[in-house]
Amino acid sequence: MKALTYTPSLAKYVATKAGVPGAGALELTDIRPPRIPGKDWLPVRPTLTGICGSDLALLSGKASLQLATLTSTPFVPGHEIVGTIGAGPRRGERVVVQPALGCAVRGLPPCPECAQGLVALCRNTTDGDVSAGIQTGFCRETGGGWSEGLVAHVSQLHTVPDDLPDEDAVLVEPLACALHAARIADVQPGENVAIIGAGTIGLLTLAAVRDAAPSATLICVAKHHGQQTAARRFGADDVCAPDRVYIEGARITHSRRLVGHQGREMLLGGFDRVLDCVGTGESLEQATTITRARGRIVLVGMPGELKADLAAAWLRELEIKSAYGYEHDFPRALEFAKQLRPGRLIDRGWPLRAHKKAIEHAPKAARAGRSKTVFEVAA
Amino acid sequence: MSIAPTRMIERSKRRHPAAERESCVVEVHEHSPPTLFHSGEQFRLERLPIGSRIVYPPPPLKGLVDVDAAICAALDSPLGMDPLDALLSPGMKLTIAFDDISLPLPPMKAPDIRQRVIEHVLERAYRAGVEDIHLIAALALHRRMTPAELKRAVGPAIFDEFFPDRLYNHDAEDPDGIVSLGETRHGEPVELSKRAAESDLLIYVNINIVTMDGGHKSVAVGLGTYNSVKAHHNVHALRHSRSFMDPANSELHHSTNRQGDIVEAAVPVFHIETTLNNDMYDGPLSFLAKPEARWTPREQATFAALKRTTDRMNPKLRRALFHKSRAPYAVTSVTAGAVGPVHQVTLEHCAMQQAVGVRGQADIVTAGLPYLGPYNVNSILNPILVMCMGLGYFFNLYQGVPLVREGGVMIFTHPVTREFHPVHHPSYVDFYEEVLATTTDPAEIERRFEKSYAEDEWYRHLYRTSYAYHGVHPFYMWYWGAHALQHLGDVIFVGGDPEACRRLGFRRADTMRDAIEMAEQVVGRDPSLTHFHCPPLFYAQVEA
Amino acid sequence: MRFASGGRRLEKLAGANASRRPAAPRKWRTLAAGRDPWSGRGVEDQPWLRERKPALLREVAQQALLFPATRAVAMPTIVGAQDLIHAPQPAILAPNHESDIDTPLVLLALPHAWRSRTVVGAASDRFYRKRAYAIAAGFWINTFPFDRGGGQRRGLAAAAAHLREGRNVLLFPQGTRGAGPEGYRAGVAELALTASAPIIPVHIEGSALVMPKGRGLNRRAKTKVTFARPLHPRAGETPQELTARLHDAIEG
Repeated sequence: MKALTYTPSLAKYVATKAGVPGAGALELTDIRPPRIPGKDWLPVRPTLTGICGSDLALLSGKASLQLATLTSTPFVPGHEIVGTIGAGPRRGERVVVQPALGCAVRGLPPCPECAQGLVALCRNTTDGDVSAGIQTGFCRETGGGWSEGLVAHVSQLHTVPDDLPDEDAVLVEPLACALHAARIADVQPGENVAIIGAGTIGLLTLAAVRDAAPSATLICVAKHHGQQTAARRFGADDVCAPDRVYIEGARITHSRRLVGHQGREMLLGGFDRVLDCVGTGESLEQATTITRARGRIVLVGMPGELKADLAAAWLRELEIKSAYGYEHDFPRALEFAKQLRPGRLIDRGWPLRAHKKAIEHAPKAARAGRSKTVFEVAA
Repeated sequence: MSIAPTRMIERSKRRHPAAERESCVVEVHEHSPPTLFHSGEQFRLERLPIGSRIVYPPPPLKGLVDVDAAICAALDSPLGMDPLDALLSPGMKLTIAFDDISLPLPPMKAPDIRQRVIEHVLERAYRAGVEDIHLIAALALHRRMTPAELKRAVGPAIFDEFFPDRLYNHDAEDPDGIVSLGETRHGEPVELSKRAAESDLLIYVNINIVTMDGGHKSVAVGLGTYNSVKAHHNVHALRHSRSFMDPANSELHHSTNRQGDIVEAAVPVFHIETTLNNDMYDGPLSFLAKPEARWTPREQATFAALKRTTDRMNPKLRRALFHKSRAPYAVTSVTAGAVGPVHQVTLEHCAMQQAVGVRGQADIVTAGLPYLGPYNVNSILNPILVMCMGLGYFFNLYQGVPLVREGGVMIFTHPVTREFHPVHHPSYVDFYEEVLATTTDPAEIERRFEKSYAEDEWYRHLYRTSYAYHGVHPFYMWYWGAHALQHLGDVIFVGGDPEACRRLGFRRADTMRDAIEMAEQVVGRDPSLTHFHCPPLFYAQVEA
Repeated sequence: MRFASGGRRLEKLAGANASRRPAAPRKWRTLAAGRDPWSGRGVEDQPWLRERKPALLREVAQQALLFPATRAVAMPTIVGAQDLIHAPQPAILAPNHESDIDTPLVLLALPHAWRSRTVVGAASDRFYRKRAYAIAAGFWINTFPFDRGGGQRRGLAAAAAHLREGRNVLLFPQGTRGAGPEGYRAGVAELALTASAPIIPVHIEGSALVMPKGRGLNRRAKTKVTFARPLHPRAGETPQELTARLHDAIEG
């Protein structure tokens, strides 16, 4: 069975960081189909798998090394999966995989987080029936989406309704994250919200926040021009480029903009909620300077290692919350996907053997507003 | 076209000075500098086509070293008459007539030659015991001279002594001051100032600046009236004067000679004729008479400064400045005696200074009209006077055949502004408005309008009491160019006022190139062009 | 037909032949009956001069050439520039106007964070008649054409657009040089109220001696540039009241 396996090593890590081409740790290999670890596990054949920003960060060496502690190599990446069940009575059923490997999946008694339903925040991700891994797609034994077959626990599988096409279904996982982030952000009606970043996560978060608070003023900070139209379609009231955030923000929130040394700007006053879907040092610093005192910053997605001057966070007594994963958001996401049609974000599907091209092409496509690239595994 | 040296096949009695003036005719080549054109009170530098000729004036001759001695010599040994002392007797009636303000141009530096001559004459007259002496400015139908002008002509001493009862202007319209002397055999009436006719001796002090002046013209015209002047100042006579700078071929002069004979028969006339060189430009500006290619860098800078200043000056100030200029003329000869031989000598001296031999006529002749003519001293060159300067004088400054061929074009540079001096030229305004608006044909004008203007009471009054030209004078200005109007194919003014040029019946252009292009339409492609580099006054001895 | 082409020195020295056209006044503005059709703006704004590279070049040129020359001639003392860091941007800079050296003085007094984000309103009928002058002004002092005069206040719309884009606008409330303390017009106040931008009053002292109106550089003299605290338009304030406050802040 074909699969893209990620086999990191120090040499490859250094080479990737140094930018040596062709030194990637990702290879198309022929592997045995993954073993079923126990009962309640089913084989899944992926139809479409998304390439997430975190996967790209991982492959380009920009991912935080803290992540590595919670993964078991070598693994097959890919956690945004829509596929069909491969065997058993439910064979052929279209499902979406919720990748989080919680206590239930691992056959352990539920930890406090899993008891609350916060499966993505499970403490026991290094124990249990399968090897360590926070999600499918970071675990050696489960396999991942970038292959022709993986195994998933029954609790991970959500049936895809018939009127939801595969393109929309593959984005249900990020949409679930977005809904979760929107709930964490807890936008009150009429508030000013800024969403920094208009990639997949940014746009889906934008849609989720718009759905959660229809009367809020949403401004999306999109770096690339192609993303601006997508942002408007996904529900932003206003779109601006990162260098104009302060000017637009001052106008929207009726605050004053001060320009300090070395071009550092800040707003006196600012947004009530800022959701950072980019995860770089600049975006985080910008987020702290555009939020009003005692406002809330929500960090969405999975960042790399970053360096930021967060003095403003202290000065303004900001709440910095983070949204990772999902609670019980998958059913809601499946419903929402029917009306949102997130499949519009997909640029194109690549076969597994063209993985080099796909990985190379994915960021470029993201700048044009079609931010998602997927692998078309099965027909 | 090459300028071959002029060879005289038959030599005249005295070597003709024109033959030696080959260097005065210059051909324009690729590296020639632009040419100076006078344009009223401004200067222009125009580029002429390669291959054209420029006829330059001869350099000024040296004047007499001792003018007084020359005057004395002339008075003591006149030609064809007894010495002056012999003619003077106590108790006689002596009248001294002198040329008016229209000569010389520009007015010469003090002391005026007339002043010097008259002083000598008066000295002899006093020595001879003559008491009844009148000084008359012989101006015919020109304007009366102002006291200041009279003073400048005869000098302060004489002025203080004689003005206003014994030094006055000739009044051609004074019915009591005119006598008729009969008619010539061609039926031309002769009328003369009564005082002059009744004198025992009439002395005429003349300045000969062009070959047109002097001779019988001095007395017969200068002290004449409208009736006598009408005989030769008409279109027919002037059209048949080819040209009036050449008295031998001039119908005008034939007529005046006939009248002069009658006058001579009535009154003894002692002519004193003087000639001047053509040193018009004072001191630092004397280079303006030189060919431009010979100007030193210092002179070029002086000219540049002069041109730029005059271009930018206030027009009134500029006019005042120009009219204040005095020419450092030097006297080249003084001759006295009977009119015939005296005038012959005078003409020879004139030719010696002014004649330039030119071989061949040209299709186009260009000239720059200066600010001053005989009829606007201390006054304004109005459009009619511009026409007179250009077509009357400049066209006629030839002997032989005209410099421009029949049907050719003359191009002048002058602003031709529609300004008229209200005191000096009142009849010109009406001539411009009434007569020229109707027709520009000289014969037609003569037939329809001359009589009414000549006999107009108001003009007569202004002529007699104010300083105005006679009412008929603008007509004479127009007739002056009658031959040119007949001869030329077209007249173009560069930089002229369009309205005025249209009224005069001429064309205008903004630049010399445009004017030459317009002329090409009349004379054909690739015309030959000659530039007549007058003012310092001279004439061209043209062989066809 | 070929014409002679020598004597160029003479020709150049002597200048052109006098033409018939009446002498057009070249330096001094004349009053004509009726409007001169060319008195309006002949050249548009040159926005390319605000791009990154031209802006960098401008900064270099200003620091190398314009500002040292201005300092040499005007010997400025600058008061209050450090406090500008606390003034919100975009703002309207409103100095009093006595001479043409006012603009370079204010620009050199501003800190880089302000100067790089400031555009200067230049009278379009003075600076934007010819393309070369427009580009020169746009390069040296980063101007935009301001259509002054007339009741329509068209120039304020251009200024408001710049404020919306986040640039500070330098406008002179008196409208022209030498209008005196009574000459404060309400346009700047109107702009501040419409665009809800604060006004930073700037007092320039002593520039009239350095480069008076109607003459070029007169003599070196000491000047003083004072930046006052920003004026924020109050709710319900009329332009006249704001102009009065501005006048007090500048002149007081």
